[in-house]
Amino acid sequence: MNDAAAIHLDFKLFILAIALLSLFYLGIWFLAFNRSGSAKGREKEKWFVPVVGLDSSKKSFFHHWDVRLKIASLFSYCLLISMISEAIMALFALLISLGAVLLAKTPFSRLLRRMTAMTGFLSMFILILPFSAVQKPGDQLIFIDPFTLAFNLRGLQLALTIVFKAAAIAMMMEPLFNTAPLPATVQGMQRLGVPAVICQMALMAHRYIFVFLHEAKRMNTGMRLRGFRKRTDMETLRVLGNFVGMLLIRSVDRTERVYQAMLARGYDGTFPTHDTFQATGRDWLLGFFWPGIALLLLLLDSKY
Amino acid sequence: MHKLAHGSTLAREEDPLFKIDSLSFRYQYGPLVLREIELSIYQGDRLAIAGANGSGKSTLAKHLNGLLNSNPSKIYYQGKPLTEQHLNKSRFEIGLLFQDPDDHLFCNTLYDDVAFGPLNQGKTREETENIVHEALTQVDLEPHKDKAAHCLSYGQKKRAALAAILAMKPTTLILDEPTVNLDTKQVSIIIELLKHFQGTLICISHDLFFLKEICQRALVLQKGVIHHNYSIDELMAAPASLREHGLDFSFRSSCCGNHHQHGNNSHIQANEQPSPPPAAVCEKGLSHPPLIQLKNFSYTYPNGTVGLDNINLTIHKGESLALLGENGAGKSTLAASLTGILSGSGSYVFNGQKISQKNRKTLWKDVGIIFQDSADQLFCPTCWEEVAFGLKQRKLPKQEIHRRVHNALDMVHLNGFEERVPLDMSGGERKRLAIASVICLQPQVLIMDEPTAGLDPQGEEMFLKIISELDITQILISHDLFFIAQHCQKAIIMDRGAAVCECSTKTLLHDDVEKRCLVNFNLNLCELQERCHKSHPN
Repeated sequence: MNDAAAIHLDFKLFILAIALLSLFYLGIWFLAFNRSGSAKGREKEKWFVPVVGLDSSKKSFFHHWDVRLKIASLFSYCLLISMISEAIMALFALLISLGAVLLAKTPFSRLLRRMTAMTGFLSMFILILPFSAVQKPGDQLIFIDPFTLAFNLRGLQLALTIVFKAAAIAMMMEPLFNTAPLPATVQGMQRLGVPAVICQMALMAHRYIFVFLHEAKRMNTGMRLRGFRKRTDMETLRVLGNFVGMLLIRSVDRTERVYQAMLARGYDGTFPTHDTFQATGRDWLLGFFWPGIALLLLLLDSKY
Repeated sequence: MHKLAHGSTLAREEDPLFKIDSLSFRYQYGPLVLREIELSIYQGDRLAIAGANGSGKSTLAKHLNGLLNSNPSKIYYQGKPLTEQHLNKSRFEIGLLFQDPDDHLFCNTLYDDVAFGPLNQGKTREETENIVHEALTQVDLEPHKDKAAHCLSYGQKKRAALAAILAMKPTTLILDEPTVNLDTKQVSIIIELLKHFQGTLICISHDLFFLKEICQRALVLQKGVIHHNYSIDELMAAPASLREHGLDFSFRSSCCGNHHQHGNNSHIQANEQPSPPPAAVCEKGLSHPPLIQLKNFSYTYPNGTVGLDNINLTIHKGESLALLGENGAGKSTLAASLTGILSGSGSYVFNGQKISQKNRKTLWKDVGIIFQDSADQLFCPTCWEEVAFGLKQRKLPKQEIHRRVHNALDMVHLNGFEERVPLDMSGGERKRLAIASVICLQPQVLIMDEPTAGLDPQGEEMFLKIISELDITQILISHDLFFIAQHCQKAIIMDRGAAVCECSTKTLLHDDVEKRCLVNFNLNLCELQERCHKSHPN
């Protein structure tokens, strides 16, 4: 503690900093979630629905890349990025991921929404780590008067490293999952050794999440149109229990019917495939490029 | 029970394609759904399976495809029991189309869905590509092949499911309610497709006129027993039998004041005059300010699709209004906006009060809606709780709740059903329960979205009787012109989110030509629109 450099900050200045930070977040939230729903007479999109393969019809080198190599390469990149320990290198990784997103022609609004969905979770690191990091000799501490609580700059740096790395990896999901149709991506994963059953489940889950949400939405509408409003009481719990139970029963019924429909069309336990993969020299080159960049960052990180 | 009539005239010497010997079946913990079924279906047969809701039609169809196969030794296809290798091989030849197209479309693109069967049949990639192209072109969906099923309209999904079956080039086609919830245009497409189908056709439907178009032989099921097995003309010429099996559609001809002119249908007894719409209520309401008024009302879906485009609409108290239009025309979107589920742009005035973001949430007290699929509004464990749900939300006294629940169940003829589980009830009973759960709230407006879809004729007749007794403003969304003519005074034709035409149902539907079309409920909407414009040139 005695070896740490202490700076005293006025409480009003601290409140101002918190207010500015909050305003910044609110601005991002507004941009991300209200842009599409701002026009009157237009419903907001459901940001929590995992839509995959959205930009598969666009053209970029990510789109033409052999899916198997793309998955292996970008996953390796993400794995190596997660090992970086310096904030500056994590920031570089973030910029490289941003470049990849731009090359993949991802719409800015969707990227913003993806990043905003993470802000709540990542903000916790920025708010908590500076106050909870173990103090080491040489740490710079800021004391907010009149409190005795110390704001550790090394904790902030640690938090920023985590935030940058998480953002860099999350951004890379766009070129990874949205530059090829989902069935092709899943088939690529299967070729890389992911069990077929998991792949089939992923495909069907993605297909039926929309049907399930549609059913849930209609049932919820049915309840609201008979005056149901969620409250903090036992009656609400009971009604929600019925709602979830009914959804479950309907889902089980649907599962049975879908399985029967599959059997009726000759399903024998394996999904037939029609995509063929053929990796070219260019695909292999790209395949080594991304892990190579991540390795370079790791190398610089270790020497920093 | 009357004497069972198994048509001896249909007996043939050739070996049957399907043969069922004394088949009985029950679902786990349930009652017998099929009882001692004896049936032969021959190559090239075009067989209609009719019967009231819950009579075992779908269960029988699933047996023919080996999906329900508790006793395989009782079902023979091409002379061999439907088991193991023979079953797997047979499934490539027997196409089965389920009622709900979402059950069929389990892949992430339409192309994959249609290719699923041919690839399982061992077709090569090139062959599959050609087959998919051909099947999708047949149902007019080739431009949508890369779309996901959830991006298609209901009618498109239904056709896509049919394409997925046709792609396997089945020699036998089994269809379960292929026309439910489809508009007349989509029904015509399906009829044309099926007319050109060369193999054995087995079709389940409540729509006897549709069945008559595509089938020659009829099988009537009641409570799991085959009651009749004869030609479809014989079936339609036997009114007593139709009534007994809940298939009597003669009430439909009562509006037309005449017998309809098809085949051997002269048995149908009809009233001399069309039953008048409840105009008295309407005239009383017209002297007052409108109950509902929409001005320049629009709504756009999140994906950018225009749901409603500049709608101007006035509805007076006591009026009965019909919304007509093809699938995706915006009828259900308009209904959702009127109930306050969707909030559009423009002006919406209800009972003299402008509806804003705040008070649209209280519209449920005055506007009730019956959904297309009544399962969407039934979520309680018993019928009594289902009907009482809305009343409890209004915090009415227990005694009042009890009285209203009792009255509502009485009105929809569901007395004694208080403790029954809604999910276990038949389609018709569920629909009536949905009405009870809405009308007990005593709304000023009742919106009904395709209320007769999936109901057997008996259920339709009862439904019509119940809603005719309701003294409230009603909005009916339907493709069924008979119901519209019978029940509504005014009709609005919608197209691509816009109200393209508004006129009285009398102008629209009442003359000799229409009478015939009404019974067939196969009138072209463009024709209606033209007629409407002629009567209201401005």
